[in-house]
Amino acid sequence: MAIKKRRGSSVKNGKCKLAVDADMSIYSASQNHQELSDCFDQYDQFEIDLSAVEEIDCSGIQLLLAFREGTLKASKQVTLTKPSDPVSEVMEMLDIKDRFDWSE
Amino acid sequence: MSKTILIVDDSSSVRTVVKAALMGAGYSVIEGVDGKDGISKLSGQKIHLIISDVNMPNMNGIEMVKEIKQMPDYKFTPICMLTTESEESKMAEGKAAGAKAWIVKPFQPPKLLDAVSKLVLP
Amino acid sequence: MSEESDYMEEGRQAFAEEATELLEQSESILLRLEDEPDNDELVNDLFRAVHTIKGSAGIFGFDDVVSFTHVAESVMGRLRDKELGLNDKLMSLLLDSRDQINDLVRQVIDYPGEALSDTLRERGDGLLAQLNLYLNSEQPEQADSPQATEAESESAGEGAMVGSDCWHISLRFGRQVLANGMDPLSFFRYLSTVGDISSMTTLATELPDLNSMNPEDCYLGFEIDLKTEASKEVIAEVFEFVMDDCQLHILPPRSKIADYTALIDTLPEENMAIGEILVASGALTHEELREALQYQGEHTVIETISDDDHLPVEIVSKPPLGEVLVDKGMTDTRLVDAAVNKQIKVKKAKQAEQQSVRVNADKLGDLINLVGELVISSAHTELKARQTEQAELLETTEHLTRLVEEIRDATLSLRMVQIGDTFNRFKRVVRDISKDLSKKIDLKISGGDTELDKTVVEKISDPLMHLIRNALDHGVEKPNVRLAAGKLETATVRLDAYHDSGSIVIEISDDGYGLDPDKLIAKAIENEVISETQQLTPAEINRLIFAPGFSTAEEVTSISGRGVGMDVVNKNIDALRGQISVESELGVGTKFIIRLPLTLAIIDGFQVQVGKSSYVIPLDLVDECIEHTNRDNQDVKGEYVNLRGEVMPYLHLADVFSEQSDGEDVKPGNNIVVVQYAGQKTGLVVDELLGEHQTVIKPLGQIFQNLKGISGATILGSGEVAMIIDVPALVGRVTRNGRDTGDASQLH
Repeated sequence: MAIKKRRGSSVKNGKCKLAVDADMSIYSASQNHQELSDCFDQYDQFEIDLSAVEEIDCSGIQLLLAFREGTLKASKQVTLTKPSDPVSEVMEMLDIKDRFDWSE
Repeated sequence: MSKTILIVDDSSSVRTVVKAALMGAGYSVIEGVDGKDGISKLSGQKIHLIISDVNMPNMNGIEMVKEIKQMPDYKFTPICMLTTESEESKMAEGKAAGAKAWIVKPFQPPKLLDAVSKLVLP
Repeated sequence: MSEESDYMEEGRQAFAEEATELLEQSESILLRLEDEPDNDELVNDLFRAVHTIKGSAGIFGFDDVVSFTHVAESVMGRLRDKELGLNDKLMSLLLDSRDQINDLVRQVIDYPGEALSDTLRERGDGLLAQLNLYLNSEQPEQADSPQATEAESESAGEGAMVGSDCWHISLRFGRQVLANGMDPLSFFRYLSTVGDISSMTTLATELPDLNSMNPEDCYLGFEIDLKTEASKEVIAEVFEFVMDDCQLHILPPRSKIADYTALIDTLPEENMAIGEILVASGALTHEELREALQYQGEHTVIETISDDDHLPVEIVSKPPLGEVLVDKGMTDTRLVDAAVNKQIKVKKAKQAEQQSVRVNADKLGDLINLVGELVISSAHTELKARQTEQAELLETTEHLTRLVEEIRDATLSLRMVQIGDTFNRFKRVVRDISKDLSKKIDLKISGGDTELDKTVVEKISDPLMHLIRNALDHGVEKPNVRLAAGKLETATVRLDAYHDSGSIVIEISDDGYGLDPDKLIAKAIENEVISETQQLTPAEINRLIFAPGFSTAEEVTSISGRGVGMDVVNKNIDALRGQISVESELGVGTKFIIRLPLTLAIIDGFQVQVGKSSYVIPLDLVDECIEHTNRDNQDVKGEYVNLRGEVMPYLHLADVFSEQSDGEDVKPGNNIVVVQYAGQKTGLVVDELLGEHQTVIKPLGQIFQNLKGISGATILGSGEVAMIIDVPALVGRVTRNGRDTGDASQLH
């Protein structure tokens, strides 16, 4: 599984902690998309841990952008946390770090 | 962690030149001698780029590309064809099959590295 | 692949045509500027023409054209901004630069992909060195690098360019790019080895909802500012592997606002808000835009803007945002206008396109042929209708015929062009040659708005050039000779065009030496054109210059006298069914008069019956028809009738074409058709008058080329073939016959 739900997630309080594993490339795009879409419907607040990401390409970036756009429209919240070096590099290169809320 | 490139060509001299240039630039390189051999070398490894000749025995480059595009683990791997000026129709065929990059032979190593680094930096 | 290259090929052809047109325009502007140096509009037009050439050449990657044109444009820019004054030297330099651009364009079109010839390159370098002198007055040490020249020209220019000194790259990736294994990020990584990415805007406006997106498709667009010394080519090559799979626009540093407007116009985002446009165009930073929006005091803008999505439309349409930006001194008014006016400009551009449509000449030719067939068909229909004697049918067919006539005229007018452009080309010739010959010559043009068939214009250009060169070279004297002869120092060469009874007349006249009859005769005898005993009228003596191989020039000069004589001019004009004549007075000047038919395809004809055949006389040349009553001097060679007190020679067409009268239902030689050509009236005796008839001229085959008195054939409504009478030839025959009988009446 590419994205794992962490401890502390509960449908009741609407909070969902997610952790993406090593791959956010096109090869995992379909699977990641499926899992994010599934979670999106169940929760209101999301925290996505990016610390394990080793590889991320445009498909991964646009998945995160689409997810955030979805939360805005549905009045939900998402924060990203612990970006790995590859994630930070790409976010900086595309100058999109500001478009997300980050938590420690 | 260095990026891995598969070079498929039936000419050992071409493979040697390409391998030397790529390794010199910091890539890991594995080799295949024709289409069939190239596909067999894919098994299980993460490959960042495939460079392939067009005319080869057993399985030519175009057929190999078509096959790779069917393999779940490798269908999104960028493929770069080695073509000659006279193979323009082959190049179009290769593009249609999914190999969007190309290097025209004969080439000097810097030109090869230029093309490769557009697709994958070491 | 091949479709794409066809498309490019078509584009290149369009570029060639456009550039040729603009270059011709530039030349005539430059020449006009010599007379009106203070005409700002001309300078503007000049700048714009050259700017357009540069822009289009850039699209096709004609770098040799771009790099040279850029410098020439910069100098013209300074001229426009009145930082330079126009003098003789600069004028010559600009004319030479225009020629260089012309040759460069020819080169890239005719020999695509080939390197410039040494001569072309050397000449270019020489011109660039001179042009740079006009740019370098402020920063001479920077003038060598194109980048510096660019910056320089901007500072010298109107200031209407964005402040950014970066390249601006606009990218929209195709959906398939990721699935093809191409990650935009890898190209950006490579791009950062080419230059310094100073700003990157990721556009997600095309990104669908999370649920409906295909995660393997690419929806992103990017606006990138890049600081680099690399060329446009190098930047474009970064994206060569995704070229088929993306939209790429590259704007050089300090591009004009107009270029950004063009970019804004081409960006796919339909509802793109003004703020986004400005950010995307690199004209404003995100920061500046955010601040401006907060200043405007409307909702939680930061979030909305930074998402590049769904910016409320009201902000876009309300002028305040633009004003806010300008008030805060953040952007150029004109750039805001550019964005606001996006729609308006697009509409205007569309209107402008509609004003003139470019049509392939072949298509026009096909249309004219078809209309020709239609004319024949309609004549046939009318004939058949007349035979039925049904009033209603006749009425409809007459209406139809009228419409067909209108269609014919409208179609032919499509091919009519003004001769002015051709005339203006000679200004340059006169200017250059008079300098070479150190003569002072003024070219006066009138009737440039006279219209004639495009094919005629094209074919008349060479003979005209020859006549002009002759006039310059042999016709007019050097200043000292002129002064000695009591003439004005500056000679005048005139080009006049006007309509005269269905023909176009072009006159080329000079106030030079004039033709010397004695020299002409001596030369003609020497060349065995005439015999020593032959007596010639003054007009015939002048006509000697059209004899093959005849030249009176004492020496062969480089300008004319290249072995192509006046006989070739004569032949060329003959081939156009035209005529050339010459009038001259020794010491006063020479005038060549060319008469040309308006069009080569369809004429109004007057149909007559001679014996058993039908003939068509061009209606334009028909003056009147009279009854042939006075047959007293029928057997005398050289026949005349008294036309209201005027003596008029006439010809029996039956004799000319050896027609046998059948003598039963028609009285032979009953009517005279009076034709007038070049001031000479002549009667043509025919059996019967059949009336007006639209005539589609079918050229005669090779076998009939030497047929005298016939200029072509046509197909009548009945399907019958009729010959078209070559009136000029017949008139010429009559006047010659007249001279042989020793009668002088034709001289009046």
